[in-house]
Amino acid sequence: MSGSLEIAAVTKTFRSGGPWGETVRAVDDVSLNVADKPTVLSLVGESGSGKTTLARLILGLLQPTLGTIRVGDYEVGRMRGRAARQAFMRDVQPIFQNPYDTFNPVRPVTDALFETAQNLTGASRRQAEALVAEALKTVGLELSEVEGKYQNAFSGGQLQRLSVARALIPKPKLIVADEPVSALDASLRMTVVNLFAELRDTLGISFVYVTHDLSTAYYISDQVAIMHRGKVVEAGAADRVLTHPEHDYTRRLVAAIPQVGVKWDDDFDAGVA
Amino acid sequence: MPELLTIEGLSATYTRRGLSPVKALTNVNFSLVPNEIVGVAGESGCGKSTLLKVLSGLLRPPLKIEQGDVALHLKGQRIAVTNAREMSRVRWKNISYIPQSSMSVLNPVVRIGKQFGWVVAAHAHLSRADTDARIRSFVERVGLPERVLRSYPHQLSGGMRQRVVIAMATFLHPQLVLADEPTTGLDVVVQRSVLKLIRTLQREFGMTVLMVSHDMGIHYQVSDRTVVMYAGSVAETAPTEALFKKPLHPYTQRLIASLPRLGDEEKRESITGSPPNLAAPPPGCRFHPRCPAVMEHCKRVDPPLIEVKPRHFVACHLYPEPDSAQPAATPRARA
Repeated sequence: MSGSLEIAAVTKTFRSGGPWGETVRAVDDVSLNVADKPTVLSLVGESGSGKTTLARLILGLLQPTLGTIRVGDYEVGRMRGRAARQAFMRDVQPIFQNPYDTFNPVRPVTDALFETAQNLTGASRRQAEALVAEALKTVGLELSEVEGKYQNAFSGGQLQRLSVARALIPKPKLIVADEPVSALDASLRMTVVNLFAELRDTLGISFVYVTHDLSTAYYISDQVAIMHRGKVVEAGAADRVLTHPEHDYTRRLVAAIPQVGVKWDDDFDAGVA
Repeated sequence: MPELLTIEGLSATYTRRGLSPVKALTNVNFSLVPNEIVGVAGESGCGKSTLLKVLSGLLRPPLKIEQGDVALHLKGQRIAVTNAREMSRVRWKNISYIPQSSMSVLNPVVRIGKQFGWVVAAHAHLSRADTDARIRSFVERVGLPERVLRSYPHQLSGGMRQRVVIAMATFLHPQLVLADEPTTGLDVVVQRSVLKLIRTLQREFGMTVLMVSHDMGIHYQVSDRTVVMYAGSVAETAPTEALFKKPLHPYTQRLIASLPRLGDEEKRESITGSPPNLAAPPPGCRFHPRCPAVMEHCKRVDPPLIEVKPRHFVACHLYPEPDSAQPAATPRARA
């Protein structure tokens, strides 16, 4: 299979709680395509824009209300049988925002890695060890350095590298990373961001990078989709969308980034709602 | 210009029985003068929030001042932040606080208008009707509809709540406002308008705002002067423009160079390593294990903060002291 991604007219609605609950269209008629070559696609938007919901739909953690999502040969959520679902989980792996939530605090971090190896690839304990060691090596860590340690022994940046290593174990084609660097300090962020670009180039893995940070999105993405109130308002090559935005909302978003080197106008509220 | 707040040789620790104390602040020196926005930048664990706690006089165990002196200077009167009684007298009126999460300071079951009244009643001696009218016009002044006064906190958006808290903090025109990551959690478009509000009110009332933020971009946009902290000490402080144009400390240089920018494809690298554990900080300069320009000297001697250029202070052995006999300088300059 390949890492191609095809999102066709996907809508996801939720009902808010209570007897008078309203229907919320978290993702509203979204279509996006990522070609069958290693690509970083950023889903950029503010809170409530639907970017996380869309990421969870791609991972198969949620079912679309309408529309279909295809990753390679799979139609997400329509796999028949345990074997097919496992194959999908090997090919499409998640990385979450808070690495402290990814790892169980009362168990060694390596447990999560061994579990991924054994559950998804059917490897024996010894084979799992080889897989884990290899994945750790890819992110610049040694098994002997991390084995038996708990999450509190690591900084956020190191833990997020461990979550990347965990995701790499089943040799995925597509990694969906939901705000993977927002919990990290500025001085550590670029390590993880650069790692994604490196994995795309060396291992041919595609990424869906979900973020509210337009600067890092510009930095690593090939393609960008700007989301606003559940809709994709503008999508295309990252360079074009972020340096020559066409949609009014994208323009406002770009204008509001506190960028070093580009001073806001003196009346820096102009044009900002 | 007379100083509004002075911080001299401040060291503070978090002490817990059976564990080695965490040295959250070590020998911090700087001061604030009236009518400026001073940004405090740094990563998590650099001591910026501890600094705000000390400045606002919220000194409860396990936080303890080990050394140093922090004082407000109000109309010739000197108030040490450790003086709890005096501090509660001037709180809101002369020194106020904008928190990171507006939800944590607003009472969720009391309407905004009533909570606003509490803040005012404790300090301003105005009639009830007069107060109400002033609050109404001030709320409009910060760009909120009057109806927010009849609303409960959960009925407002994050940006509106942050405006409410800013209005409360500035209503009595305090000389000093401490803002702790005032726009964290807000979307960028709202963030820009909230920062603009803070700057407009600051200029209008001639207040001093000490704004803590991890986002260097925000300091670039808003702060007149920026203080860069690393591992509990001030690494560098300068007028914001000078700091970004020519950062002197290797940490500041690396931090600024690691920020990606739109339209710039150049490869960005993180600073190698991680910030130190403050329960057992490295000897000498605390940045030395991560510093690309490290010298033998750096591993043993903690560099003092010295004024290298007018109003530009840096704590780094790359910049020798002009007069070696001088003790650690105290930045208190503002031309």
